[in-house]
Parts: sequence; C-alpha cells; structure tokens
Amino acid sequence: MGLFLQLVMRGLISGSLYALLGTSWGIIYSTTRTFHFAHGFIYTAAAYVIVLLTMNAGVPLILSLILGLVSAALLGCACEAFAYRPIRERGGSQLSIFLTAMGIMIFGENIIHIIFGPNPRPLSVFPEVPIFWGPVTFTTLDVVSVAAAWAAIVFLLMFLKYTKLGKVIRAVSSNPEKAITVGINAQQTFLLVFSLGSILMAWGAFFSTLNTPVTPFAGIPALLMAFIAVFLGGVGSSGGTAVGGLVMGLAESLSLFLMPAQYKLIVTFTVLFFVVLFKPEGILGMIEQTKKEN
Amino acid sequence: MYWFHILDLSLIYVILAISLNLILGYGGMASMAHAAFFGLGGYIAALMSIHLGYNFLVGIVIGMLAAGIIGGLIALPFIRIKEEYLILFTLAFQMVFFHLTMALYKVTGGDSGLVNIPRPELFSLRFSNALSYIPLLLAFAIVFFIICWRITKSPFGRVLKGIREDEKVILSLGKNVIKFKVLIFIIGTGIATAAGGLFAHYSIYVAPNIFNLDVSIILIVMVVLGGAANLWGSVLGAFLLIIIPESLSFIPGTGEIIAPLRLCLFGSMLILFMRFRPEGLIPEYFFLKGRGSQKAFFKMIEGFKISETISTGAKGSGKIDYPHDKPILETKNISKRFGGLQAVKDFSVSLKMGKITAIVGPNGCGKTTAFNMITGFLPPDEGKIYFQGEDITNRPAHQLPKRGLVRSWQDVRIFQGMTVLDNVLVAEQNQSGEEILKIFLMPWKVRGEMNENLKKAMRYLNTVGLAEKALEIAGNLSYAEQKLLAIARLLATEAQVVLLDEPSSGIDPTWVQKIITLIRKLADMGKTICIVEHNLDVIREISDSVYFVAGGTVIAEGRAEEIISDPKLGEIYFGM
Repeated sequence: MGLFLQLVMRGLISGSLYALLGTSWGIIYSTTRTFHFAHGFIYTAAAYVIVLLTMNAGVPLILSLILGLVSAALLGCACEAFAYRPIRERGGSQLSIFLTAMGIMIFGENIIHIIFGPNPRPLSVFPEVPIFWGPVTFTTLDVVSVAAAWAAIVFLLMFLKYTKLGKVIRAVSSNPEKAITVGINAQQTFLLVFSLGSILMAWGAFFSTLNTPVTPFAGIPALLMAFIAVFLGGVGSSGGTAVGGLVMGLAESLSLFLMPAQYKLIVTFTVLFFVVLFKPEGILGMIEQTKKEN
Repeated sequence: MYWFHILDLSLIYVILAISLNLILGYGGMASMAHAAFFGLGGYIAALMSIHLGYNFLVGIVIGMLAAGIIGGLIALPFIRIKEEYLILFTLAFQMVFFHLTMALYKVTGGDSGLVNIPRPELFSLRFSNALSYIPLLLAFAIVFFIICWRITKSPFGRVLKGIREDEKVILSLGKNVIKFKVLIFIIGTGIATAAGGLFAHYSIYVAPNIFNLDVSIILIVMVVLGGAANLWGSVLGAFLLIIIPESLSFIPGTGEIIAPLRLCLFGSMLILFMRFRPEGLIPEYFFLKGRGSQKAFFKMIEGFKISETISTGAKGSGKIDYPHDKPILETKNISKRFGGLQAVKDFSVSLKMGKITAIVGPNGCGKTTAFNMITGFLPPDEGKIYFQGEDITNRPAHQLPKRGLVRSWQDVRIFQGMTVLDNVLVAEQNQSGEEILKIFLMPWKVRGEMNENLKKAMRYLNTVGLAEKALEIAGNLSYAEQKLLAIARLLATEAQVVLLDEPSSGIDPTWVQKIITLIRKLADMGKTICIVEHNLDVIREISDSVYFVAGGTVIAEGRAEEIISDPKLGEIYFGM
C-alpha cells in the first residue's frame, strides 16, 4: 500500500509537468493547426539560456528565468513568422509545415550540441528538502514544481476564458475563416498563441531542469510527452490536456508495479493507443463537428 | 574498399528512400518510423539466420510479413482519424522499437546489438565483402524500384495523387481513400524491412542506434531533397545524403562533432527546401515537360477515333433497369443540426428517372447541407435517403458512385496538379489497375483495361469539348473549362444520377449556354439530374421540376415557371 501511494504521488508529480507541456503545445496546435514539432527545440533552448546565464554567467536566477521565457517567446514567434507563415501563404500543405518544423528541431538541437557539447548541464540552485508524509516521500522542489505547473495551466485557462484576447484566440481556434471576416487579425493572433505556448514550454523547461540536468536532446522526449497529453486528453480541450497529462503520469508511474522502468514509455504508448482506438476524440475531447461546406 | 562500402550503403538507402517516397511523396503521409521498420527487418533477419540458420531470403520475407502486420496495426485505425495521428503513432513506434531493442537484451543484445550475422548465400554464391555485395544490392534495388515504379504509374498511383490533391473529391468519385492510404503505407514499410534484412547481412551487425529517430529523419530529408513523388529523386537524394556527409569527415577538425554537424546540415536542408524548393531537386513532372511526348500521345490515340462522343460511342454508359414511374432518389424528412443551428429540417425531395430537378432557395437555406447528406458526406440526424428503392442513409460516400450516384462540387475542385486526361481517368470505376495484386499478377488485364479506359476518357473529354487539351495541366485551364472538365469527370463515373452543385456559377453567359446544352444532352441520354443553382434563367431553361427551399426545408414544389413567377417566393428569394 505504501509503495502504491508513493507511486501515485510520483505519477501526479510528473503528470503535472506533462499537463503543462501538453497545454503549451496544445494551445498552439488547436489554434493554428500547425504541427509545431520545433516546440521541442524551444524547450531545450530556454533551458540552456537559463542554465548558462545562471550557472556560467552568474546572472541572478529570476533575471535569467525571465530572459529564458522571453527568448522562448521570440523563438516561437520566429518559427511562425519566418518558417510556417510563408508556407501557409503559398498554400503549402500541413505536411510541408510539419517537415519544416522538424528541420528546425533537428537543426536547433544539434547546433546546441555543437556549441555546448553533449554533457548534461544541471541547474542546481533549488534546495531539495525531503518531506515525509506517512509512507509518501517527496521534496520541496516537487511541491514548487507542481504548484508552478498548475498555476500556469489555470492562468492560461483564465486568460482564454475571461480576457478579450483569450476570446479572440478561441474564435480563431473554432473557426479561422469566420474569425477573419469579423475583423480578427489572424496573423497577430497566431503570434500571440506561439508566444504564449512557448512561454509555458519554457516555464515547464525551467522546473524540469531544476530536477533533471538538461542535454541537447531533452527536447524530443519533452515534446513527446506534450503530444501524448494533448491527444490523450482531446485536441482543443485545455482541460482535457491537463487530465491527459495526469493520466499519463499515473500510467507511467504505476506501471513500475508490474514491470521494470525501461518499459515506462511502452506502457504510456499502449494506453494512448487504446484510448485513441476506442475514443478518438480523447478523454475529454469532443468530436469536431464537420462544418457546413458553405 | 571504403568507397565500395559507401556504394553498398547508398544502395541500401536508395531502397529505403524510394519506399519512404511511396508513403511520404505519393501517399502524402509523414512516417516517423521508417528507420524502426528498417531495424525490424534487420533484427528479424539477424535472429533468423543466427539461431535458425535460415537462408537470408527467408528472414527478409518473414520480416516483410511482420512489417505488414505492424504497419497495418498502426495505419488502419489512425489514418482514418486524421493525418496527425499517424505522425504521433509512427513516432511512438519508433521510440518503442528503440526502447524494446534496448530492454529485451537477452534476445536483441541490448545496447551492443547482435554481431556475427552470417554472410548471405545464394545458389552457392557467397557475398563475403563489400565489392561482391554490390551486384546483390543492385539487383534488389532494381527490383524494388520497378515494383514502386509500376505501382506509382498505375491507376492505383493516380488515385494516390488525387488523394493528395483533394481527398474529399476522390471520395466522391467512389474511391475508398483509407484503403489506398493504408495499402501504400504497408507496402512502403514492407520494402523498408527488406532493406533492413539486406543491411543486417551486409554489415553483419545490428544495434539500436543504427535504426534510431535520426535515421528516420535523414530518410525524410532524402525524399524531400530529391523530390517528393519522383522515384528518381529519391535515388539521387539517397546518394547525395550518403556521400556528402561522408565527405565531411575528410575535413580536418570535424572528428568529434561530425554527427551533429551532419544533422545540422540535414535540418537546414529540410528548412531551406521546404521554403524555397518544395518540389525538390527532381520535381514530380520533371520528365514530362517535352512537347515531343505530347505529339506522340496524340498520334497514339489517333486510332481511338476521339471524334466520338458518348452518345455515339459508349455502350449503355451506366444505364440501369429501374421502373420509370418510381422516384430513383428520394429523401424522407432528413434533418441536420449544427450546434444551435438547424441547418436542414424535414427535407424531402424525390428525383424522377431521366428528369432534371432543380433545388433553389436563398443563400444559407441548407441546400448544400442537404446535398452533403444525400451524397454521404454528412450523416443526417434524422430521416432516410433511398436510392433505387434501397436505403442508403449513412452509407459511406465512396460507395455511392458505384451504385450510380455522383455529385459535383461548388467551386469545381478539379485536381489542379493533374493533367486533364488524368482528371477523367481517375474517375472511372472498377479499374483493376487500382488493385495492387492485379497490377502484378494480371498485368495483361490491367494493360488492356487501361487502353480501354483511355479511349473512354477521350470520348468523355470530346463530349465536353476538351479533347485537344487532354495533356494540359488542369490548373492551367480557364475557370469555365474547369467546369466542363468537372462534368467530364462525372461522366466518367458512368453514374445514372448526377447531382450538380451550381454548375453555372462564376462564368460568363456564352459558357453558361454551353453548360446548359451539355446538361440537356445528359438528360437526353437518360441520366437523372439534380442541380442546385442560383441563376434563375438556367433553372427556367432546363429544369423539369423545381423544389424551393427556405429555412432548411422545402416550402414549395412545381414546374419552374410556377415557382419562379410566384411573388411570395420571389420575396423570400431576393430577401425583400
């Protein structure tokens, strides 16, 4: 029983991070329909900015965190403005945009590899004090990360629901053509969404790097977690993505009951496989209504 | 020996790149797992020959079968949802494959892989070094190239191209889109596993890192760089991307960073090509530009008497036995609601054999929604649809043309990137060349049929007056000509009942007259026609009866004159 509770706790902790990563990618995907594979590079880049500034240049943590978030937003916007938009404008397919995104991803992570080397870089600035809670153990860092993840997710949900800009984003996401006809500037909205998503990704990168050192190749695993959370929870539903992330964290963690840790990822994918097979719209998602042709 | 080795490697990558081109270039689907299938073939071949001592060909065949099953499991459920799901699940398979080969170390050797895989033998020939392996690989590469070539140049390949152009239209022409996509995915992965088997026996060593995600990405770059949907492009791409990065290692000082440097190069190539030359080095139509081949074509079809039109030439053209007094197509109270909007309510119409029926009404009255329900593109919430007395409600769209019901699309939606002729050819029904097995097992039958179909297609083009433009790219036609082409495309399906969505919108009066004459001709041939139209002159001139629709439901029906001159309906129509 003690082990079970411990695993549940670990699952919820990592699940919270997955929920955050998923939300960050999901907002971009559901609004712009761009399969933004380069989002993984945003993760790595932001983590490196923060780690290098803090550990090597001696910049205060808060300042380097802010710079990390800002550079993530700029990179995200650059992807949209200089890579995806031109292809969209010439009528290129979703596939071409995806391939471009993949190009940015592998170019980016390998540039980091060439410049800073393959070694993991830790960001050991946060005291990890263990907390014992009956049979369950976790650290102060875990508490802070989970709080930070959910704060960011709730912030985004509130932003979408209650602000004017948030309404604009929802309008574009549910029907881009109509949104344009009522005077919404789609280009600006896309940039806004790319900044928001990238900032959330960088926020997640920061907290997960506090825990695990970053390598040039940390982006793709993080991205994969984001994909799974989104598709598990349901595309277009931020709440669903959050639930998807938690389910994934729990599945991964509880699988340790049955099999060794190497099979974690396989368990996650199996869960995803069957959820999508039987409920393609995701746990909380709704089937997109085929809109009238008119 | 080093350069022989590079040549061997290039040949293996040629096989991988052309097979990925089937999926990515021709099928329009991104597979992130091509390296995993490559690896699957490698491991299966290695295990079979190490433990069971089988001939290498057995391992290759078993690998291909395994790939077919796994590929089907990934492709079948997810292609039907959305293309993004295929990206996700191929990525998942790529990761799972890597983790499994690491985790199941008792079988796979884990991180260090499997070594000492026996060299292949064939008819007591041993392929023991890089040089002797060249002819073997070359033979395999040629065989696979020919297989891919045959598939892509067949009617099957033409349907794939149509799917990339406009999936919905292909569906409306009676092709089961999912089937085509899943099949090409399975074939592509199957060939990749064969390459894996060849590789395992060549390098006598397999390990997880040889088949990782980077390799999948490199393969994608090869296809994109060479040219999607051009097999020669992939051959070129494979050679370039093996040889250029290899040459990098001769530059001094690159030792440690050679691997990331290569990937940087690949990444930037992908970005730049997608941005500035998305068609790749050898574009799809690279070899078709010459005027000479056009002349040859018209000479070839001279014997087909292209002056024939359908009324003189075709036998039957899809006539069906059905009692003339009964409605051939009937909707009974179909309804559709989108969220809070009741788009169509209790919509009932019936079409009589050989007559032209028009559906008119103000914009947004639900005509198009009704059209989509009748043709299987939208499931009605309530109500039934009968075709020839049979309930066709909720039948998939692609099954209707074979039964004799086709539709056109409001904004023509011809396949812009295909030739005029291919636009028509792709619409013909029951082509054996659309079935992979028949392409290879009954090539004579397929060939004979292709000639027949070509004759028919020319006849349809002649009927609408586009025969001389058969080899032009359809996107270069004027809008009015595109509308005619869309009608020729419907004719090619030989369907008895034709639903036309605004056939005369957006073109000037002389062309409108042409189209009216053509529609009349179709009715005279015995086809049943239903048109949705805004131009009241057109309706007055050709329709036998008219349904007036407003607010999603039929509010009046009668002869064209009665409906058009009714002042009350006029008020609704013009919104006064």
